[in-house]
Amino acid sequence: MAARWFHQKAGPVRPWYQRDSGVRLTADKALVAEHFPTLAFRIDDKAQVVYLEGPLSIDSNCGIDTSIETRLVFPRTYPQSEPSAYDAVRRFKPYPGKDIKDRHLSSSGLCCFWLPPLSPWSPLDPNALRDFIDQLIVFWDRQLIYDDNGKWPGPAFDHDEKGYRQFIQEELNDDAGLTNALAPLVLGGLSVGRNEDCPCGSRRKFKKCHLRNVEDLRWRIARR
Amino acid sequence: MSWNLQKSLERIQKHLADLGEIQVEKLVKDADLSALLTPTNCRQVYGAHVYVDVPNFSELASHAEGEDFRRVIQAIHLYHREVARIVEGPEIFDGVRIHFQGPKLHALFFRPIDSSEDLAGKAVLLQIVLRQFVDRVFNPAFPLLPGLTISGGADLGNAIGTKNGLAGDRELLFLGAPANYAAKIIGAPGEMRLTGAIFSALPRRLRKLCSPVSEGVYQIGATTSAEIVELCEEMSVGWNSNDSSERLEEDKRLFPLKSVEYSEADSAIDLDSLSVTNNKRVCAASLFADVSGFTKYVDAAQTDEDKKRALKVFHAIRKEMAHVVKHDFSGLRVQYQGDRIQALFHLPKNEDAAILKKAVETAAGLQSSMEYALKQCLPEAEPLGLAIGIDLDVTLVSKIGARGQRDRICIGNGVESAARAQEKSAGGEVSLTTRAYQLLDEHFQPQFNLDEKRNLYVASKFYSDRFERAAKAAAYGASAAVTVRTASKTATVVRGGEAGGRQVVPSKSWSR
Repeated sequence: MAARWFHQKAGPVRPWYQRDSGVRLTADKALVAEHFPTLAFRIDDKAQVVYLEGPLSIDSNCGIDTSIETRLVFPRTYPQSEPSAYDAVRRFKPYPGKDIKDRHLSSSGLCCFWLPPLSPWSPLDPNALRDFIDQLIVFWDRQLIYDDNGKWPGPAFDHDEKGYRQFIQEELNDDAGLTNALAPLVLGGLSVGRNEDCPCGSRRKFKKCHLRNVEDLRWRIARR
Repeated sequence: MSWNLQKSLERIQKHLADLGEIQVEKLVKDADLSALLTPTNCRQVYGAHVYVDVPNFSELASHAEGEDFRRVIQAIHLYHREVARIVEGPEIFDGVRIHFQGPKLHALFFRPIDSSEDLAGKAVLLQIVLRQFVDRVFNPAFPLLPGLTISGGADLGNAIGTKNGLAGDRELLFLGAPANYAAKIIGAPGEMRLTGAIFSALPRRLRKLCSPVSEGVYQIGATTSAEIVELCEEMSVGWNSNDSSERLEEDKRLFPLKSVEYSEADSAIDLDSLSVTNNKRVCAASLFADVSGFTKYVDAAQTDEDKKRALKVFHAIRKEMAHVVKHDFSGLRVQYQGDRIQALFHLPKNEDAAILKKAVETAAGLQSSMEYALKQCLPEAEPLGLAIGIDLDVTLVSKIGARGQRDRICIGNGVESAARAQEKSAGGEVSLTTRAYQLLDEHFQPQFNLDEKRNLYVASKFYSDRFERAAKAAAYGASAAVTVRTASKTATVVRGGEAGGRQVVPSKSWSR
């Protein structure tokens, strides 16, 4: 009996879409049916991966529509983590003379809406998926503008680590010197003891100077 | 006001349903073409097409002011009156003045029917006579204007004649190589040119006056006054410089300088109210849209059915283009020039950037109509595309000629450079001159790329949705919230807040 009890407790964790009688999936399905009826859920039970797929047609006032094949992939940690959105058929190519990253897409078609620590994803918000797809629609709209002239409409961070450095600099009130001193700590390239001098050059102990800022930034980056 | 796909589809379908059965027959006997031809009663006309241009008029109209400008207007009107008489006078050339495209005459000789030697001879002699008229009669009559020079081109062959559907002033339209090529071979001021087809058909004496300038193109050499008198006698053309001079003096008495008036325009110009005594001088954007590939399309039509199909396509495109200009964007449809439409935008008054933006938006509407609506309704139009040219400058707007045979004219440097921009453009392209590009809003400029070879800023696939997106780029640039609206099949992103939608603040994107 004991062995059986143990087996039950340690058994495979149910995928998110089966937990609580699948209540989250049911709610998301209703949300999608109401707002984005061209998209449909597909569940790969073997891989325990959920997809939301179909065309999103971006309309214009003049009546010319542009249909974009879209795929959302839900992570196993959903809804704690946000889905990933993809240009399903790699419709968007690099603009002549530019990199695919310049349009905030990866070579696999993954959309980079935002820097992870700035994601507005809210797991408990029942409308989180709707708001996420709204952002995707806006992202597709911006892709179409980029198609026209090769200029990303609106603000953007640089690619890769440079983007994180810009984020850190924004959080540190645009102080470039401070960013240069603290970014290696935040991004993991350097460690400093609590009682050592703060890398900012203040000659104060790290724990009494910028330790809290560094920990806060590390946490915000790590949680995503 | 803007272009809309659904409305465009509906009106094209209605127009096609209303068009009726098209007839295309060969013209076998003399007729009054303006009375005979209709949109559906068309004729294949064998004839010599002649274009004669006065390039100086555009420069004068763009730069003269005050009394000088009135003098230019008077000169333009009187030039047109006398040239029309020379072309159409039964005792003179007995030809057809198809129309004036601003300062450029388009004339046709088709009688005697199928008599290529007579037709070619008249086409060449008309150019010689008009050169003589300008040098010896017109320039001396206007000593305060810089001396005008003319240039010309002529071609011979079959073209299909039709007419637009408007009541009142006629607009004869000719489709086919000779009607097009005669204008294309026009060279530098002072050069009078003809094609190999005309040259081959010329009587020996006129042929001797011509020399080749390039493959298949010839130019007419100098002629003495005595030679011109002899040529006119030989070809039974009753023109002489004294008669022209007397008629010109009489016109000057009828329309003295003090009777010539011009003004700016605060509201949309009523083109039909214009005359020698009522002209407009406006800062305006000129737009020319040409159906690229249409001449080949018409010339390739061998059977009657092919020709009827080509004409159906032509009338559908022509009517739709006019509707887009007039009703979707409140522009002035100045003239049809074969398979080309000329439009003018002059409001809001003296606001160059806003005027230009309207012309560019119209170009996007025209391209959208062609690619999304016309080709859906008429799959046979698939190989065709619109070539569009735009420029902006001070422009004289007027109407010339007598009642029932009056032409709307726009003259100015901007008109000429817009026409040239269109002629250098391929199907599907919208081209701006440097002047026009520099006036364009910064959000629209990136839509156009500099083509150094053509010295034009060119956009391809420039449709109305792209125009909308360019305007929306400004909202994204300002990090302003947008509204997302979703319906059963589509999602729309619009600027600012709007009822029935969800506000979204665009994210600051990144990439890994």
